[in-house]
Amino acid sequence: MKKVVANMTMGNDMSPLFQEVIACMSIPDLEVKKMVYLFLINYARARAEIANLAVNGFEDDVNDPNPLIRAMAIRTMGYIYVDRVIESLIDPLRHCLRDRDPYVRKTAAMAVLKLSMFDRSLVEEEKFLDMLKDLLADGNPSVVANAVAALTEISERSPHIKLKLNMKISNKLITALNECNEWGQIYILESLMYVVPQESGDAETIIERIMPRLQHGNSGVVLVSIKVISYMMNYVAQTETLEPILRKLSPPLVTLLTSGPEVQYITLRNIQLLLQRWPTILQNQLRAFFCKYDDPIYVKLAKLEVILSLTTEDNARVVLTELSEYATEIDVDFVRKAVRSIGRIAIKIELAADRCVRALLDLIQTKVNYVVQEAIVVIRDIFRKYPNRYETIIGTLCENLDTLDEPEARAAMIWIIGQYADRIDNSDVVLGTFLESFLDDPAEVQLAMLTAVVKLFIMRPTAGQDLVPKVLKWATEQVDSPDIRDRGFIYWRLLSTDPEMARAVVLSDKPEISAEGEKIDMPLLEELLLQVGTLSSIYRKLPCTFIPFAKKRVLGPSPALTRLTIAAPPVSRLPRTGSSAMGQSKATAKQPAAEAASLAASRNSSSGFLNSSTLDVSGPGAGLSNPYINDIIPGPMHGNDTMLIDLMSMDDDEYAGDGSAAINSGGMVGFNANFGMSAMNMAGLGQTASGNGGSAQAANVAPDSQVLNSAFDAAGLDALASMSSSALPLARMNGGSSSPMPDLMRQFTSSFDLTSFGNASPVGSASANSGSLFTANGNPQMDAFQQQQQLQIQQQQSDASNSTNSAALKKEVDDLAAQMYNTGLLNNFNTTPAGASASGSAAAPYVPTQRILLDAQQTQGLEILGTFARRNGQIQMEMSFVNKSGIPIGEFAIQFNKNSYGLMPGSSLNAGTVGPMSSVEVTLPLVTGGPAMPMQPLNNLQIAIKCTAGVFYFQTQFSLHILLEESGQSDQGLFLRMWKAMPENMQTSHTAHNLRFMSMEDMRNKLNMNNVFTVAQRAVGNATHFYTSSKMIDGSVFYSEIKVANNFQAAIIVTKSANAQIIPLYQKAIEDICTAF
Amino acid sequence: MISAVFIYNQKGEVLISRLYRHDVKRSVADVFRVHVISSPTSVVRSPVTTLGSTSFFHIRYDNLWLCAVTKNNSSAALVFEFLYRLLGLGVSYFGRFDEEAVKNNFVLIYELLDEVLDFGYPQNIEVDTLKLYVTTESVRSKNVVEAPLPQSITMQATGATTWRRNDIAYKKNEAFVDVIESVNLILSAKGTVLRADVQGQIVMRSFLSGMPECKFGLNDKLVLERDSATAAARGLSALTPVAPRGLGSRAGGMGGVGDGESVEIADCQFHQCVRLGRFDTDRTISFIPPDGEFELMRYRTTENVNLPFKVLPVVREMGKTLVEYEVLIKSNFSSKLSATNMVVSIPTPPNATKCRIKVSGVGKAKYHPEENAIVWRISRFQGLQETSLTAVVDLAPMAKPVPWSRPPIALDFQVLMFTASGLLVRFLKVFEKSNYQSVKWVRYMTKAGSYEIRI
Repeated sequence: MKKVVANMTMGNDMSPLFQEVIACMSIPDLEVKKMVYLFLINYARARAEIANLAVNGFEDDVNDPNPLIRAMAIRTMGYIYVDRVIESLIDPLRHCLRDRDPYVRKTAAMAVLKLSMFDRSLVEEEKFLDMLKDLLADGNPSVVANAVAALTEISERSPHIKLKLNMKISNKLITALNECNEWGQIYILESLMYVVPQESGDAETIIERIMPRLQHGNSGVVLVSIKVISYMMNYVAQTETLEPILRKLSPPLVTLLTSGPEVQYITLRNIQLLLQRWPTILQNQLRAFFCKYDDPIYVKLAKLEVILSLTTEDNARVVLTELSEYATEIDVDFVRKAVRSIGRIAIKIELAADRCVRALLDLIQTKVNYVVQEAIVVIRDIFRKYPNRYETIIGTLCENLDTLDEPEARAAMIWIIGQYADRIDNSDVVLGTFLESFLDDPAEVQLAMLTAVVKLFIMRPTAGQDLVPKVLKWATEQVDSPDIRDRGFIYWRLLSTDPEMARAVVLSDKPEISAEGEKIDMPLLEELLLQVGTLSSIYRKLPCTFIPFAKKRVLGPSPALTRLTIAAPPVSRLPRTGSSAMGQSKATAKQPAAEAASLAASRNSSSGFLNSSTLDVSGPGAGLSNPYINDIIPGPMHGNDTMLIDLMSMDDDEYAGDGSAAINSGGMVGFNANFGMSAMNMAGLGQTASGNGGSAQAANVAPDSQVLNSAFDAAGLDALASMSSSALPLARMNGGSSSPMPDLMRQFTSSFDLTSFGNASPVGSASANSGSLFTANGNPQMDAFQQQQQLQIQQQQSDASNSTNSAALKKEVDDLAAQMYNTGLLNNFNTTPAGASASGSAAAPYVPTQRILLDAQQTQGLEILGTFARRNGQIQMEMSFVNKSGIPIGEFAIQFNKNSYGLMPGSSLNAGTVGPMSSVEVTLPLVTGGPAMPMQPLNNLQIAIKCTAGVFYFQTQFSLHILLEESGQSDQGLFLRMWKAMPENMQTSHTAHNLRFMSMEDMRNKLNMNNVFTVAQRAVGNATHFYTSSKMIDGSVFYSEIKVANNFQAAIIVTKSANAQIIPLYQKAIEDICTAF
Repeated sequence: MISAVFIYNQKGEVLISRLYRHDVKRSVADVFRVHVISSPTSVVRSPVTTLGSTSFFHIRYDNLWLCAVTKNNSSAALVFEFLYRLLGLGVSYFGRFDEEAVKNNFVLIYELLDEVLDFGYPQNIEVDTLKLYVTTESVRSKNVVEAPLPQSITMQATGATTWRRNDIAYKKNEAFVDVIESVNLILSAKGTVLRADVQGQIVMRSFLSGMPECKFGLNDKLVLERDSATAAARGLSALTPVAPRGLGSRAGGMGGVGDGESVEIADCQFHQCVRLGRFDTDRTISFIPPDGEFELMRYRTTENVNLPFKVLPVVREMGKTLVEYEVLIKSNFSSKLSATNMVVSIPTPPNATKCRIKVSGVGKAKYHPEENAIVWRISRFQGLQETSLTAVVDLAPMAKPVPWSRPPIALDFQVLMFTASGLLVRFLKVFEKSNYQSVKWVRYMTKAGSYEIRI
């Protein structure tokens, strides 16, 4: 038998011996049996007819008194995918699943999995799944573990079985953890990924209970625990809870770096992912990632990436010394990456840039060819980032011209020479030498050359006049690449017609570059984090990209899903206000939120757009608790030195003026503080949004009466009168439609006084008041509005419950009142029937509520509210400028930073001058086709506003529907074809609740108005299905199936698009359209 | 999960191939050989190779390649842990795990592979349990067991303590604890410490009867601070059996081990026998040990590392033909202790031709051209001593001068009865039903992990 097995291993075909081998099955010796079984596993498939002969032997063995033999028989039969064998397996398997002996039971559990791989339906028909579920409650931990593993894989591979574990089961499983062996622990922990906690408390319990696993010696256990913990952290409600958890994650990660190099590699790749999501882990652990001389190359490269992401201003110096050290090593890839990292740090951390440049120059002096080339490439990026700062080093660079043989380095060097042609004395000569090989160079170098020579000619016409015709001639006549030829022609035409224009074009300012480029997109990151420790986390690819049957994993929807995150530690000194602003924002959150809601509402309705008064401050995500937005919060602060730097240089003279303006207007903030404050505002908005999300967020917000009123302290109660009076002309200005306003306004102020001021428990009555309104009011439009009122009031209530300072509270209510000088609102509060003011029809295009873009608190009194709309095919930004300061503000100008879809203002901002305590409405047409750069999220816009009060930066997100074209209608045939053609991974499903429609007709019209075109519609039971198509300006087409319950309680939107990453935004837009007015 | 396991020899010939799932064919073994083992680039760029939807995980040991194949998005850490464990199994079964051992024991290896993985899911890889029922004539486990009842085997293989049989009996009950620390150091050329940490390992060899319940105590800062008074009292009484019978009394010989001071452990990991829940709640290390040798815990400290050696190198490149070295080494531990088997490897440029070396102090140094290094061996180096070396290296002129990458100086050494972290075993208590007396021994050793001094 041994010889047979030996030959088998060597690849010799032993199957002719089948008969004889099967005869051996009856030998009652365990060892012989094992070899026979091995033989069967190997050949039974190929020789199915003979495998049948073995069935009898198997049937004897499964009834053997020895549990080892029983188990072995079951195990072996499962491996043999031959009909007859499988058939005869079913009955014994059922017995074995209930066997006395746990060893047999655990083997049987695995056999069920084997069976399901052979024939999925068989397992379901024979009720094996239920038996597996029963095994989850088995007394023996190994059995439980195998049952869990089997269930997990069956559900992973089956299209219609979905594993869902509730807290009760998961608690039991976690208890079993303690008694399992290490592999069993892995299977059980893995299964916890199928638990969707419904409350923050559940998630916290699970985290707490599996925390001890981080001390396990098996790296598989540790990594899968980290995966579960990082998954569960998405469901935790409070950042305070997260911090200690994150602190505990770091040491095990570092410890994993002492395991074998393979595990180190896996750990490092995962650390990269975790770091991006949770930037605070591994702080001060930088040194653990320094490379050892004999680390395998893959570990070194991965360490380098982690070092780069852990670099901050404080440790930049240490890192640079270390990187310079690496740059002298042998491995070419590693050295190049080290050099490149130095450049990245220069771009990421401005204060370290000097040192980086010095380090790079030192490296260039080593004259090692590839080091020099790599260094030149990164120096080009540094020049781009910090123009006019390091030109002195050009001389050194020029010494190395002749060694450059790689296209990228050559192109970089040529770019540098071209860019600074006027400062390099012999730039023409140098370019001339490069030119010699022009026709042999790759296209990349040729393009750079072409541009550089033209730049030279423009800056130094005499020096360039010989080169230019030569290059242009070559480029247009002798080069095959159409790009080069086209660019050649363009330059030629430019130079020959209008040299001034050529100058403007060729020497225009370059947009900024940033070091954020290599970050992983948030949705992708989120999915990858559900795969910690697996292959896909190593490759940074979703499993479906390399595993055909892989299922997509998402964060299970649950009321507890918060996606909280922790602010990144500040990278450089300037934006450090960020962290403190974040802290404050918690306290101030309610205030701007209340303002936002009321003001936005009031503004909208006064300008006649009553139909858009939903509380939509939430934007596409969920605020502070949402990684998307939080990712951006440092944005405006970065703006200080990076992203928006070109905007900032709008006018330096004005800069000084701002300071004095700030003092004049009694504003307490200096120019720098503005950035922090506007960030705070963003955070504030976010915070409200999470409250809006229906969780108990609002109550968690710590009240701080001090901060509540900071903006309105000045105004206070006294200002109430002046506010309303100043609002008078304003209301008139806003249009004739609101003629009854003054009266009503007076009415309102007084009535508000009555209801809340005079009352002993003002808030309580207010909420009762609005509560009754809510029910009494039949107009759904008003409902939306009411809800928003309620929300505010709830927030106030939560304040009230926490704060005993009723004076502050009153003041807040005052502030609220001060802003509600508007008809619609007024009607509500007076409990007059609201029907009169109802004006929104379903056929109007959807315009989200204006939200506060800039808060008066941070801008010396200028408040800007805005929203985006698409009217008759024209994208508009509708803004209200409110001047709450004592001096007029004027000379408005607006500028957009590069954004995903190239949106930019279509005309200049025509806002005139806004007098003190007054406001003005502006509609700014937007056009597309401006410079584009992907933003995160894609619908993000960074905007700068300049006015006499200063330059302000903010960012906001637009609803995607404004980018949908009027030509998006598709016919049914096309729809069906496309729907079928698109695979599942381009599909996303989303559920919207509480639609605001009275009939399907309304809904269809509303959708059509917003360029979501209905292709077909059919009623199915209690629901109606719409099939819709839309086309976006960039050509992306969306096909959706919208299933709407007939009571409009909920709708399921299933969307397919080739451009899968923006589907969530699209669906969000549909949801907003359907739930808002 | 794992679809197949292959073992190759150095040349890439398949020694063992076991398929667990039908989604791979035997021929994928060739794919791995072609793409990885005999790939023209000599350095392996990644331990994981994915071709299409098939992923190959490999580790190397001796002259073998161990490779696991998966077709799904499996947990990479699990697969590697399995391969490590498989390796351990081989070493434990055959003493050496190399091509010859594999060839001589392939039947046994197949049996093991059948047992440790079921349908690609690792099941039970505990040597002790496996030896109960996976045996052949060629290798018998040390303690010959008279065929136990199959029921007891299965209970063992699925029970809560899969790592221990319950019928072990010794005449003399002994437990040996080895604290082995590896010091990792990266020192910059200017002498600043870039990274210093200690990776400790506590290896236990238990020869205890029955199902002993052990409790283990260290001078862990967290524990000591919590209840210093009671802990100290308990520690002293418990230490008495340990210390006098151990290698010399603690007060006299243990100059290098911190006395009564506590150690801050950054992180630790335990053998699966340790009850993690208990450790998490009150930091007690309690366990039922496997029989024989096992690694009880691993730990890591980064604070207050006592570096046993200070190295002060001066390396000057004098033009293109000469390099001068001055290396001074100071030992930084009690003079009662000494380091043994010390090797200092001082790299030289690849084009070195001749070395003139002078050692003033202990040890002998020799130029090894094949390693591009001066190797300085010191068989015994006492504490608080110093020794130095000067060398002048001649360089051959090169047609195309390549700058020298200046690899770091590397040290290798062992210091007995010294822990760089200051860690100390405070007690080891053994409780067993029969209440026997047991003897415990503790030994400390510090050795070099990667002890690098850049020049």
